[in-house]
Amino acid sequence: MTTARDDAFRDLYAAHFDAVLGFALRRTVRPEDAADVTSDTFLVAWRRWSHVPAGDSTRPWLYGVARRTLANQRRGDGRRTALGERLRVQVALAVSDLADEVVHRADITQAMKRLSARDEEVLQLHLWEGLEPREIAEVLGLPSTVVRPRLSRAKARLRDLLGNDPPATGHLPSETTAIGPKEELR
Amino acid sequence: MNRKITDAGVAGLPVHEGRAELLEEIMAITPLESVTTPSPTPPSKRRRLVSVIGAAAAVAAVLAGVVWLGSQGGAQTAEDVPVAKAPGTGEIAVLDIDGWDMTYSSIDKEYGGEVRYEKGEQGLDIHWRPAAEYDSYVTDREDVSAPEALEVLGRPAQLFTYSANDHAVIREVVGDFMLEVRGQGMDKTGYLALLGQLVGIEPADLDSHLPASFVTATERPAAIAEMLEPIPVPDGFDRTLSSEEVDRYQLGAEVTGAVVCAWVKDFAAAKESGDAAAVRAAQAALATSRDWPILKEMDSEGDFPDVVWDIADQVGRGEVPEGTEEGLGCDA
Repeated sequence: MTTARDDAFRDLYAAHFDAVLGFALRRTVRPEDAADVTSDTFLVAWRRWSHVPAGDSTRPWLYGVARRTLANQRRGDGRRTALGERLRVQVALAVSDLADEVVHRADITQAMKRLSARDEEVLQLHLWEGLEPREIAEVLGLPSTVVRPRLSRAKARLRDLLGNDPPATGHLPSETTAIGPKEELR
Repeated sequence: MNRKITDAGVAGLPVHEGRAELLEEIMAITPLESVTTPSPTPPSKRRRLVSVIGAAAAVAAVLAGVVWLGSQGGAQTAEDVPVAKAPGTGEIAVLDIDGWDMTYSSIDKEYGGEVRYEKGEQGLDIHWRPAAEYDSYVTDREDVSAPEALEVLGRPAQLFTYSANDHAVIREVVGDFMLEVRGQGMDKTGYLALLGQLVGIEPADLDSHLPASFVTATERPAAIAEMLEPIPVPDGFDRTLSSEEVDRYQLGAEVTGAVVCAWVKDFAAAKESGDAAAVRAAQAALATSRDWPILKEMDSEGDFPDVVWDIADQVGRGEVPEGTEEGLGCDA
């Protein structure tokens, strides 16, 4: 029997699967690991349904879970989920065939690595995930009053590293993620 | 992966079977909670913060559950961990060591504060947060690693390991605050040695540990007055702003943000009521924002001035800017 919860979870999965898998793929070396992070993130959402906020807060919440799952993975604890075996195989194959036009600008990624971990993380959430300061605050568990100026400074540092060459939006997830002031308004 | 895939690229990946199969696998697992549906309205800002922390706790619960195979984690015991002790048992802590420079600070009445010190590639972040947050932060960090007991500033604390060169401790609550100190770019030995050199102080004593470039409480009223002096403000605007920021950039954002909020509020009300003179007054005032010295000063360090100028441009076009409250912290 299908319950309202089943339907709601299917909707959530459909709406956010690509975003969570993309979040994980951009932060892992092995695509299989990204598949594992995705599996675990949605498993948490399913098992802890009452924790999942509705509306615009859902995606930042999922990113927050994925971020923690990644942290565990990076600890090299050797654990692996039993779920999503087929996804793991398919993602590994699919990513190995990626076309060049689906990559983010490599020079921006390289420049971000030269920033502090704190700057890099807020910029990744902003440029890769297209999150606004308020949403970044939700992912990181920080007040937005702290995130807003942090992001502003990180962007200025990135611009310095790029030689005042602001990134084009063409290879970014959406038109809203250019380095500019607009995000501060949200 | 070295190449960063876009969301559009992810949507085009041929992983449909794996995606569908995972969904069914997950839904075949018994939920941990009784059947409920998400709240139809988003939780408050405060609730959302707790929700994120709660999410990490949920991950920890799952990691400990049946879905993980063969944990190889080897938690250290408390006996393995050196004890870091330092003088003072103040509510917050600072680092007063030559070569370590304070590079960032943000102080908030509600949330507490943070300071960052840097030495070359090494960084030490000290956060103090309201005591009520202690349990949720400890639960959250338990997902980072198994905690190891130690002492910080003579009080019990727990050490969490993000990586070989990235550690954090959470010290039990003293007074109104919990304390978290994270060190990056140094190994555990170096980190513990640095913890041992922390100095516990009271929040009110932070001023005496600030570099000259930061703003002390004594200097703050004059600094605010100096920032406001060349800026047109609406009638009735209170120039004696209350702030605890010690960083000129943060203080400048608070001061100019308050002025812009007031003008935008006046502008919106004037537009609503059809008061053309008041509309023009707000537009004229904000049109001067590109000449505000504090914004020019901040412009080299961050993008907050661009936010103000963008708002000024919108008002100049006769538009009521959307999202100003959240963007600038109006009525915060």
